[in-house]
Amino acid sequence: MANQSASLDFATGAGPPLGEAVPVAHDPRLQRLVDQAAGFNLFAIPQRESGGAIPAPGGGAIGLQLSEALHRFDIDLGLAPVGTDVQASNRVGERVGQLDLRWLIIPQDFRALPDREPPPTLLDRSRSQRFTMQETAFAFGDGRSGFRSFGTGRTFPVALRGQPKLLVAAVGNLTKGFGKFQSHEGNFTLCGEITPDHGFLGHLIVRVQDPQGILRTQADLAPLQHELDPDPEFTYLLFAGQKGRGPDQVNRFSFGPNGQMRALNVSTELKHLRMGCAVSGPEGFLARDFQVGEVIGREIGAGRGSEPGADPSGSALRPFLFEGVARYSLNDSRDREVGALTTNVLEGRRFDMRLPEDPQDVAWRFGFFGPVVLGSGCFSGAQGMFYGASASIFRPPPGAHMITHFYAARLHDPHGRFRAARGRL
Amino acid sequence: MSNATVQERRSEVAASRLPDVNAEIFPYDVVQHLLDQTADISLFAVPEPGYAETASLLPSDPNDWFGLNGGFGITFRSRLHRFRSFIQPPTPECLAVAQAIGEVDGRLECRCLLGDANLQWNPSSNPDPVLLDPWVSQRFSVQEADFAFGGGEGFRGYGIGRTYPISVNGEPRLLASAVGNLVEGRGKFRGCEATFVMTGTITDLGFLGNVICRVVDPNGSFRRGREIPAPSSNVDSRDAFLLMRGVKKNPRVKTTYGPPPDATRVSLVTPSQMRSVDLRFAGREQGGPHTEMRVGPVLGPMEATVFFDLLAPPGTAERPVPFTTQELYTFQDGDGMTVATLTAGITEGISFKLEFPAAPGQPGVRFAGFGPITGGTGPLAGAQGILTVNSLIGISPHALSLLHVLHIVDPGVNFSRTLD
Repeated sequence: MANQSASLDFATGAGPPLGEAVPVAHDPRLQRLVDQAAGFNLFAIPQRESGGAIPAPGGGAIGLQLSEALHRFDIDLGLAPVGTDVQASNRVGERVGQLDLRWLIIPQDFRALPDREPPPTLLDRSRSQRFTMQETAFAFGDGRSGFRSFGTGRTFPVALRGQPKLLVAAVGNLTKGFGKFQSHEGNFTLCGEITPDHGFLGHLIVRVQDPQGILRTQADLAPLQHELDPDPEFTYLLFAGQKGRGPDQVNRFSFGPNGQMRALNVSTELKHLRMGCAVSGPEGFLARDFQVGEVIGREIGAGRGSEPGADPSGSALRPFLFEGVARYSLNDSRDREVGALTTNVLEGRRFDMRLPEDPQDVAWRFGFFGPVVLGSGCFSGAQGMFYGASASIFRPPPGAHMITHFYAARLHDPHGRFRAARGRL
Repeated sequence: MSNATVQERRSEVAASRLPDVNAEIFPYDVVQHLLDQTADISLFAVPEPGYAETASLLPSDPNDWFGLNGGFGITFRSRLHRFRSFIQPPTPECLAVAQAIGEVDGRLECRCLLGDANLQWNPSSNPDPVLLDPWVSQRFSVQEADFAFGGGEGFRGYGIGRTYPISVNGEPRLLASAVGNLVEGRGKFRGCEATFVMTGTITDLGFLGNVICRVVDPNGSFRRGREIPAPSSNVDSRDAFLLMRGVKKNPRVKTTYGPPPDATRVSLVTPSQMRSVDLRFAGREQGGPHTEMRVGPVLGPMEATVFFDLLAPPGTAERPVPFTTQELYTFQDGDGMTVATLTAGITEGISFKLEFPAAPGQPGVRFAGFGPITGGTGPLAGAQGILTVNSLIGISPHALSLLHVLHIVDPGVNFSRTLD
């Protein structure tokens, strides 16, 4: 997602024009600092006995309030073997925590804040609506570690094979950690659907900055257990995005006919990504250090701030908003494009952060989501959502841009075309 | 517009004697005949497979990814098929349309750039970019539309449009409509004045729907009086497109002024009579494109209220005069009993000055637009869709040559659509 840098589109005029080749600036130290983070792949399954709709006085629902079970979720997407489609294994395992949520539908122009209760607004499954995640509390393992959060999202009514579904995606920010999560900052992005009985079923990518390494281990995790398939009509893809070193990786500003900067063109290399977490022994809930592997594709995209002239800083109460379009192409083992997804990030939320070993630099962490607007190759006709959670240090072109995206896509896949039978590792 | 300017305009309107639009500078029948000297082209656009993946919003600079198709706009290419849509005479039991989509007879390429709610007609500049959101109604400019027929015939145009996300039996669909003006013609279209409208569905960044071009043709270049065979159907249109021609029932029917909607606009209440119409087109034959119009049976009355700025200078290609309308269609059976009604309104209308070489000094207007269907009764109860108009009128006398299309999203429940 050519994204967070968008603030600088409007704040500076610096940078090479399109077509001017300059070396890609790399700073391994900054990349290491950005990557001092724990990444958790989780799958939420509603607990039917715990609640559901928040009723409206006159009937209908204004939101949902319930507890959900958080499960380990393993997604493994690699280079497609020659002659095959892109395929990822999706394995939902044992329960590792609980999610307590209270989400409320909000008016389109409502400014959501953690301490501001929105006016009652009816959930309408026929149209896209905004909602606030007024409360979303994560508790892991024995419940002594976790965090509270706040965020916003959108519903997206779709029909898949003639069946109406209410898709949902949202970005949340960690507001208060407890146990091992105390004093951490992080964010998460979720994507799934609101079930007919008002639960949330879907994937959460949690990214927590963890310079002390409290939340993660380099050791292998216990094997995933008690496999479930709670979302059989969908396949989830997961991959990383990082800057490569080739000339095609140079960020460039895009200028409109009037000479004004309108967006930042960003490309990244898409890479194999492994993320895992488990509750194991006395250490409790831990993430395996995420592993970024071989290049499996390429991203090209253009992003910008959603509000021209907005303050370029992003805070918990007022994150910087960004949007953009990007094309993600995935390759086979001969480095030939197998399929591509063009996606529009309709909502991106960026938060500034300081890295302890580099306090003078402002680093960014951010989350985003939006629909797949076009699929090509093996993804021709694909329907789904794209989303992710990321962090970066960005200096305007030709400066360094150290970034690691956790990218994910939830694709409607009733026949399992994109679903590999088992994990590769 | 400032308050002072509004007040000034209000005074001008009040002070002006509203012109008698029914007066006859030239005889009514003469003006009616002149208005009908048009080549009327009705086609059905079907997306060209695979084009969306290769298209760019910035074809001259494909390495600027701001131009990724589907982001801040849509570039589409559709094959233009011959299209026949003929409304059957209404009966107490049924309102039906026979549709046929035939062979490919042309190609349409459009580069549409999304803009904000304040997007204005401006052929010389791009709108402030807005990202495509299929769940939100958005305005766009048709920055470049290219209609190509056989033998180098065709034209380039500019226009404006809007997307309409709707839900059909729980299934979301993204409708889109646009209105535009011929900017530069090729072959027989060279030097012509023409207006085009389109209404359909955005599917995989392609456009599937009806396109109507109306070319002012005082010399009959496109109309040879020769019969053009009807297309044989080979594609399903998915929706119903009710094509109608409207004129005044007779020269004695008067247009009246209604209550002004605001300080700067007047309203004209215009009764007309709608009929089925069969528009035929041959785009690739020797001698270039030609057209034929066959007028069918009476469907019923239509009352339109048109809102516009009477004091605005006549519309030009660079600065057309906007208008809006409210329409009530009544479909009647052979005994004059109402079978169905439908209400709709043009929300994006543009109009241009129209002159008649054969009647110097006779004022006229060429206008087109689109807007949502807002209600219906009988078989059209609950109808969703879009109205497009592509028309010419005289001013003093107020003769009409209306061409309307009701694009009715057809879930196959309340409306009978048959293949021809």
